[in-house]
Amino acid sequence: MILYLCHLTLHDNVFFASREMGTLYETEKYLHNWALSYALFESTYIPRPYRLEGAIAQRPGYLEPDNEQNLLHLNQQGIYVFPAQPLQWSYQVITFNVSQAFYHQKSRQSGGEGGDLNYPISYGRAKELAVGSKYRTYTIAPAKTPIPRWIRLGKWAAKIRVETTLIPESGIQQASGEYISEHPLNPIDLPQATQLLLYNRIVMPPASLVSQAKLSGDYWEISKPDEWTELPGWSGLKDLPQTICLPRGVAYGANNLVATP
Amino acid sequence: MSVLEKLKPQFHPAFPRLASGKYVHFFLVRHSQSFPVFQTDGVLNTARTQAGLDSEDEKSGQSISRLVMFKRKQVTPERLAGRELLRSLGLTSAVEGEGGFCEYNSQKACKKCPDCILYGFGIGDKGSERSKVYSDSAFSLSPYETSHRSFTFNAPSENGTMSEKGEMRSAINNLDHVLPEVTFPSVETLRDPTFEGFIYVLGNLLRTRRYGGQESRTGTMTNHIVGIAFCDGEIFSNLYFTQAIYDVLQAKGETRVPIGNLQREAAMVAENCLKQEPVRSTIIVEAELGGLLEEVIGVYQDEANLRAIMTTLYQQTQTYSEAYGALFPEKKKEEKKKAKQGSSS
Repeated sequence: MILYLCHLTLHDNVFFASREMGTLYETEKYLHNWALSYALFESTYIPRPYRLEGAIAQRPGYLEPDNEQNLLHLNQQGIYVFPAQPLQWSYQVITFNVSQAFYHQKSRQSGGEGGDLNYPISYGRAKELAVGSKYRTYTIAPAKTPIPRWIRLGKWAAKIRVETTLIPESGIQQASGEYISEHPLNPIDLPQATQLLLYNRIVMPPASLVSQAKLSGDYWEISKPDEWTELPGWSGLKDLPQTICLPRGVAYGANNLVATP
Repeated sequence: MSVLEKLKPQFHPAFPRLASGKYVHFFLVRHSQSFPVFQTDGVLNTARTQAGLDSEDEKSGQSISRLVMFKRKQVTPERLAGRELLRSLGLTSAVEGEGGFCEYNSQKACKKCPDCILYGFGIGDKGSERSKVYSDSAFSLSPYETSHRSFTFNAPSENGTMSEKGEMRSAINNLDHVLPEVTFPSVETLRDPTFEGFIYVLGNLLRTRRYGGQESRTGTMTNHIVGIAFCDGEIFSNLYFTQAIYDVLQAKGETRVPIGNLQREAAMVAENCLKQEPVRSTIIVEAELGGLLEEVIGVYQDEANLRAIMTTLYQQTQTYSEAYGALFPEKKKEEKKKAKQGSSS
């Protein structure tokens, strides 16, 4: 298996409406792996049409084969991106508005009086992840998969710097049984044979994640050798934790796809 | 052969349905000429950032506050400048019922004009177009502390005084303004353009002169284009570009340099940074860029030429829209209707 350590640094504020409370829109501090997958591989492995029409413009179909932009393309390529763990983060609350060209148009609540719009009112406060926040994640990808150095993420398509380092295979061991994964995981992408025993839930759309999970099943144990500083291939992995366990057999919708014929 | 002619093969002949790997990056130095205001919550927007790129270096590694020009505060005036041009050429109209009617940021976007197709729109279930123009929040080169000043402003009565019939007016307030000659290095990205689309977006960058709030009174800025790169991928961010320029100026011991020198430094930084990116690229700088800009300015000065290019662009976006977009189902319905009528009569 070829596993990469990815370090992400925000070069602009990232915003997702993870929680909506009236006019306050809040971003979860974890980055969802599906969002990262699109950001990293859209237009190389996942088609990205410019125009969206009708139902598809309203409802994303992440795991639906009929939807052109599904994540199953990445399963075929043997690519998987894990959710990203925040290492250092801060927030910035920013008021946004959508002014009309005729200087001002009173904003209307969706579904409100005279409101035939189905998008939210045109002003609000966004709690965004601030510039300089740092994240860590892991990516499984075949050799020579182009992983971009810069991606755009979130509602405002914010620029993020991606630094990718290959983890030498000598540090990765296969194992089975009970284990604790310190890294956040997406339960829908876990193989069916893997069981979640204990976890913290990170509530966010489109599919909640889990963190500090205790699982049982097949897994990879990645550990840094004791004298890693002197070994070739390890010099760039200063930021890799001493030991980390990641589930084996993850794929987009792995848990669901087996269930539905 | 002119620079524009030479560049033509780099562009798509028509707007594609799917995003591909064609990127045009404009490197600019946005330079304030008067006192712009970039605020969202009653104070100027700022962000705490590392001064330069080298965290080990004393000067470069220090953390400073920078003024921020959010991305929507950059793109909105540029879009509006472009829309104004399209209206002035009679290609679009602001009057409902007329041909080419298009209303910005509303349900009545026409979904087929160059602005709708290049900069995108979203109208709930009636469809959306992803923007082909990407921006990135811009950060001031100089720190916030030395780049702003607070001004008091008032609204005098008709006789020019603050008192009226013995009563003081309450129309007085103060507001933080960005100082003149503050620079915001930026990279603006255009994806999958046609030749005409490129001229349109570049023209908007050259023609937009006012940014931020209070724009009818203050907020004049000039966009100095220091380089244009044709790449097959995304490249460095505005923050990275700003930090790299900061390091170069620090190394020379100059913090405030005239805009002419800054343009040269920025062009060199852009070229050097681009070399480190894992993308294929062709960059246009210096004399070649001068030639290109002269030709583009020439286009905008010559009405016949401009009208021809913008009309072609309008046809391209309309064709795109008919082939893949919102007009597609309507057209189909019409055809069906016609076929039905034909068979029944």
